[in-house]
Amino acid sequence: MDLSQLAQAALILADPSVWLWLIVGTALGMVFGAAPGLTATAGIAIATPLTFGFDFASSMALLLGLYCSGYFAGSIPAILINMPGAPGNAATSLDGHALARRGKADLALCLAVIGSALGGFLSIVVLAFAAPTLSAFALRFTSVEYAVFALFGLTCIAAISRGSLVSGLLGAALGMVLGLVGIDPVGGMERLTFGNFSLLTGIALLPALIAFFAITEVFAQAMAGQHGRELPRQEQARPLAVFRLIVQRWWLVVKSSAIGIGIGLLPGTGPTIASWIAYGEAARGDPQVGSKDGSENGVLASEVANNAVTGAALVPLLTLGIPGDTVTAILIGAFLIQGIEVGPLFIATHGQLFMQILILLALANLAILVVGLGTRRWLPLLLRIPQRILVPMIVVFCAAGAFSVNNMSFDVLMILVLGFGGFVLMRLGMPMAPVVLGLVLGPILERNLRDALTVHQMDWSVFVTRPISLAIVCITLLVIGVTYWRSRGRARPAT
Amino acid sequence: MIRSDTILGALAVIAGLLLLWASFFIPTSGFVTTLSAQFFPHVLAGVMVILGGLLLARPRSDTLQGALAPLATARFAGFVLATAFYLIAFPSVDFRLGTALFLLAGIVLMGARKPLELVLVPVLGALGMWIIFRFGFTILLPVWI
Repeated sequence: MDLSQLAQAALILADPSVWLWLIVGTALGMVFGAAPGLTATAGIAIATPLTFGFDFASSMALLLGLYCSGYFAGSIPAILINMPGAPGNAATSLDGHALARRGKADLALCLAVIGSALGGFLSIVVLAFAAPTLSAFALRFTSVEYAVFALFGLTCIAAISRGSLVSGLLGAALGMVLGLVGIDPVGGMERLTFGNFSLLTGIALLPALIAFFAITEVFAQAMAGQHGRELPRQEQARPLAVFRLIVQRWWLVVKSSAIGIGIGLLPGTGPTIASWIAYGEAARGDPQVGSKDGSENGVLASEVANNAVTGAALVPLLTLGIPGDTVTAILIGAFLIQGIEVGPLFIATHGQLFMQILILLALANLAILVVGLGTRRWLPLLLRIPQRILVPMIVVFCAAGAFSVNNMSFDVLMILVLGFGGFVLMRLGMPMAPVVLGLVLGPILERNLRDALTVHQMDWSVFVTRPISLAIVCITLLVIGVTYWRSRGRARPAT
Repeated sequence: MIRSDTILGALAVIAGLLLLWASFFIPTSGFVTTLSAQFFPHVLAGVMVILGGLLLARPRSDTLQGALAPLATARFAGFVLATAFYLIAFPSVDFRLGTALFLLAGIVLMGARKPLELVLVPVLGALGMWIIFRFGFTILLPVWI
């Protein structure tokens, strides 16, 4: 790292407009991240054309502020009302909302805020010091590695199927079936659409998420009546105590960051997979994760990994010109607006701008801490709204949110069908988290498995003859073995 | 006594068989030298039938009545129906009107009885939500005027 370039880049801190746009970006990210149906991607897509008249630092301040806080803010409705604002925060809702039910919403929010900022900071360190090396490694991932990686992701099912593994596996299979609907990604054939034109594009993830988490929760609350599931009075958490709690769990933070960074480096993945895998890892070490009472570890792991993706996804973008996720794909447009082409020569030729990005990312994560911790006292006020008013309002929010994803009324109908179906299945004992995991990972697994076999002339041995793929297969088998061994240990009666 | 897992297992077996049947209608291209578009549906159909069979063979103790009886109340059925009407009519009814009517029905079904609440929540809720989405997020929701 060139310190003179860093010092020159730090001069942007003296520019008030940079601070102003950073705050605006953070605030917009909070709104877009927290609103169901709207994501950081949508926020950045809307904000990018506005940066035509901006200089580079102001443009990046707005967009990176929006990017980082947008990834975090989905955890706010996930914790408070069990309605993840974005797919990357779905895992957070499992333990976050369970904690809110115990009067610990403030603790869960503090964990989400500090965990997100920590994940973000750690990913900046990686971006600053190891970007070129890591991007070269990430490029060695082909469809073979992606396929076994998706398979590894499915091992999380065991961790999130508290109660019955068979029901959990069934849920994941159902999610994967839903992921099959639409145009076959390899052959281009119509599949399981039953002649319905609206199903050609498949079942969109966001409406499905709204259905399986929010609508099922709404029906559960309607079933319980106006006082049945009323949340208790919320306890205030002290940020210093939460810091101490996080320091005690430093290994979980490191592990979840590594998962988020590793996944963020891989183009085409994103925070959803990162947060689920980190959550699954946390659940393997703590039986309380995913339980009815919830655990701090579940919230922390999911949120650290979710935001660790932010800096890591910029590695392939800034070193190779390849976007790591949808947001960084849009950011290419923001760079082009500034007349800058990102690619292998970007850091060498625009070292100072690279340093500005690092500084702005650090500031954006700092802004999450300040804004998140500053506003968290008022956020649980949402829970003081009586259930009789809150529940119907959530339905309206879900409908408008689902409609706004693609401006399609079909998505609104979809949340009704999937939501009611999901609720009945949930009452019959099927957990909803594996369904969502199957919906996320199923299409990735299928597309890459078929691509890999096409490229290697249907040679299945390719999955164990390539070193990275073999390593992931071994880790997957090891995780399955350890999970099975532990479950046997738990099942054995104490002597 | 019927158990929840028995119904879930039976549903899984039926769904698996239906998926298997439907997947035979998926067109496949003879030119593609890879797994066909039917491969994954076939695998998942098999998985669902096996898992459904396992649930049928070894059901947990939760009873069906315990799981579904709370759904058979007039209030819950009314709320589900109101939600269904609202979501189905969403594209063809003015958002502000449809939302106000749904909020009124929803809060009544959830137990609201105060007259002021019955007036203010639907009106302010519908208008507030429309303003947030229309002017805050610039999303065009269905409206008549």
